[in-house]
Amino acid sequence: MTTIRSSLVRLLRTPVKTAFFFLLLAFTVSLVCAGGNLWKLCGDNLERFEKIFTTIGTVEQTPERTEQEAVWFADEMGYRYFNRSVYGDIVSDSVLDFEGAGYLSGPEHRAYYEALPQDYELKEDYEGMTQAMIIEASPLEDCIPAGPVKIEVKRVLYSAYPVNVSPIYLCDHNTEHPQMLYADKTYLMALADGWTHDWEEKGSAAIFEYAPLEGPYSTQADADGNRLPTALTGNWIEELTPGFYETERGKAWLTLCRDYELRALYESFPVTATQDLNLIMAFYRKQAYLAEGELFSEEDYRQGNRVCLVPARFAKRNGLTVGDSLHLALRYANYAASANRGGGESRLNAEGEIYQVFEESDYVIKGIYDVGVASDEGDWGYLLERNEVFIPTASIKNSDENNIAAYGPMKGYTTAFRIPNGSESIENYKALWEAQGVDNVEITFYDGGYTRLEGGLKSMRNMSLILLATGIVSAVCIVIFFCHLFITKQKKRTAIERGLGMTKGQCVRSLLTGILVIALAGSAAGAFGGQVFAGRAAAGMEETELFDTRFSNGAVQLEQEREESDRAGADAGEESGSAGADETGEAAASERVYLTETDWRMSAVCGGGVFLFTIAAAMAGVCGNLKREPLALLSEAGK
Amino acid sequence: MEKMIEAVNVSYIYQTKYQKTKALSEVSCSFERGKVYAITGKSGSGKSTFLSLLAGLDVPTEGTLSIEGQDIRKMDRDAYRLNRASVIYQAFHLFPLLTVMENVMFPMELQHVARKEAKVRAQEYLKQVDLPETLYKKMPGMISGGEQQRVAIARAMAAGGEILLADEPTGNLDSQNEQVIVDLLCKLAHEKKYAVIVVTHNEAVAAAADVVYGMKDGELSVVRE
Repeated sequence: MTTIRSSLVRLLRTPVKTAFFFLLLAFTVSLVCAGGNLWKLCGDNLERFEKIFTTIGTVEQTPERTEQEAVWFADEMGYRYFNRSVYGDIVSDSVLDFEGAGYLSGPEHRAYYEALPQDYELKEDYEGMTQAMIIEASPLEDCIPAGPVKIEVKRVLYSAYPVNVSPIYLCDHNTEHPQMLYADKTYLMALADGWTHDWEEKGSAAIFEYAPLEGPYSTQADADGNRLPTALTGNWIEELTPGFYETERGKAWLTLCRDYELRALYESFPVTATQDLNLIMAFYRKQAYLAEGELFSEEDYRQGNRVCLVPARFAKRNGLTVGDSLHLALRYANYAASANRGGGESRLNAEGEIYQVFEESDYVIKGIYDVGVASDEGDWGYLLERNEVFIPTASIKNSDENNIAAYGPMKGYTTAFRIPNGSESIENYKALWEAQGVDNVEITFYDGGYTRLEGGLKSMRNMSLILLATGIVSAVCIVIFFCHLFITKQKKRTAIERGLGMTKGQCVRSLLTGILVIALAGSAAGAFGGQVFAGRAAAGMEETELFDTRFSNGAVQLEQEREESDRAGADAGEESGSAGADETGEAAASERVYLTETDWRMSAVCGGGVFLFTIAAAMAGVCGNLKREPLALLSEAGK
Repeated sequence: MEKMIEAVNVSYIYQTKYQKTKALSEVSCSFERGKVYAITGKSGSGKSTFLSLLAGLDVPTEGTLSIEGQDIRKMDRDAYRLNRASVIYQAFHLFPLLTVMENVMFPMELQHVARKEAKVRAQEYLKQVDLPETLYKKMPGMISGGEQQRVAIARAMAAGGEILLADEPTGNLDSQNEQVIVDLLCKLAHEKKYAVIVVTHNEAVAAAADVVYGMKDGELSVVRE
């Protein structure tokens, strides 16, 4: 006790030195703790974001040119003009298969499959106003249907509803110079209802008329995307001649009628097969979200489990819930568009026949999804179709190669892949892609804001590393300097104490007690201070770094898009404080996801580390002191 | 009179990584209570090494050094210095951050004497070395060299031993203070029956000693007995 008390007394008699040591040590330990805590926090956040975020790339073949298409509108007696993209040869999706791409999933050139509706209710009550009919009819008099002309329905081959009225009005709306129709002839025609000529002027008193609908045609393609040759012309009208229904064209018309009976106009039951729901933009952007059940697991994708996700309204209409079975009979694939963008594919194959079911299985409903407020950005193709069902790609066991109803160039909503997060990964991919030399395919990356977050966090982590390193170096220098003052320079004191009969152990206690008391107090105070500082810095980080989780700039996007994206992110940040934000994916736009809680264990480790280093340095100094021969040292000092 | 300390053929070799140096060569002598011994000799002759062995800070390489018949190698040498042998130095070597009083109390506190008791006894020792009471609470740096050496002697007395080893105790003092210290050392030997062993260059100190040894190249010889 004497040695410890005496050590402390001596310490208090050098208050300036003692205070300096305490303050400097506390300051440097606070730097170490703050640096350590922030470094760990940044690491934790990066790890967390790595799990939350995904980086996908969408692939789009760029059109060779855009053409203006003139479409005649009989009611307006004029043309309307529409832009149409013209593609050259279709670029195969195999261009995406190159070494070093590092895909986590994909690339997939996705198809949606048309499933037979069977007994499932696909329509809401108000849906399906426009319907198709295929009839045999004759005009009441010779006429050119450039405007509404009366025709008498002689036979209904197909109609979604009973046709009790005759004559009806016909107008070849989109043809400037329609063909002449003769009253003494009978025509087979495909029509769609719901048209008028002067609705705006007369309202319900306007003449309701029928307009042409495509007749039998085929867009069937082979597995390489090449359109198969066909005799089907797509004409909406044919003159009925004796024995017409025995001809190939006549048979095709009858087959078309059978197909309409299987699935009415605009009635759609699309099934999208994917390797990763993150590749579906609506899911990626959280516009589509899980309302019930679960999403697909890695195992579902890998093993091709027969599980599916169904939309909430479809499930409700059909009384389905999670765990129920859904019977899917897939008829044909459309590789040209997404289910929402879809259509365009023919109902008949190149032979003029109905596509036969090539894959039929019961799927277990694993999850029910709902769709929130859709973003108005981008193409409609990114939106989901109302009855769209999702299944793992690998769950389709049979090949669809003979049932490809349409094939088109890669589009952002049909072709995507996933790569690891981070600007490094994107830049690497970009470099490798550029090396492929494919110049008419554009890749756009979406990372949900990860790159921006990663950049910010990495900068902060570097700063915290600098803080940590500065703190450590300072702490080491300060400890060594004060160990020199308090211990190494106290050789004489040790010699006197040894001369007075103190044991080596007592000498060690005498020297160490003082410095270690200050070091302990300084380390504890510094650890506390560092913890508080790091906590405040982390809280500041959260306040300033709100971000947009919907989308962010891609590596190959234009700078302009980048700025717009940043502005969108800023807007999302400004809106974050307002109540009643969107309930679905949009709410995520201003979501605060930073981890800001500092870890007291980190502070304890940092503070403890500095304290242990002080013990080690002090012990080294004390050992040096004790090695010297006391009398020789004191004699030297005297002389 | 009974021999307090006896050295028989004591040799001491300093061994470094590259060489060996024989600092003491077969030194034989004895020291008794109640006498002042002076060891004279040039620098590097081995005086301080011998004093170091006498203080128990090291042990002889060869030969036997015994304290009241007990081999110093077999003794608890820390306890020996704490309770029986004290050393005073040319540069006094008081603790600069302890007061005069605390310096004198220090060895007693190491011996677990109660603080109150230690304080009373320290005052007594300081009186015996004629140090004014006004200096008791001063720091060593604030008093003169002669006063510091007297404090050092009081501290040596406070340890309560019978052996006082002094390494050039008057080396830093003027002649007036030198005489005071010499008188004090003689008084301790003759009245308090200390064995006082002084290593010195100073002829006046040697003249005051009862026995004078000379040290040359590590060999000890009797100069005056």
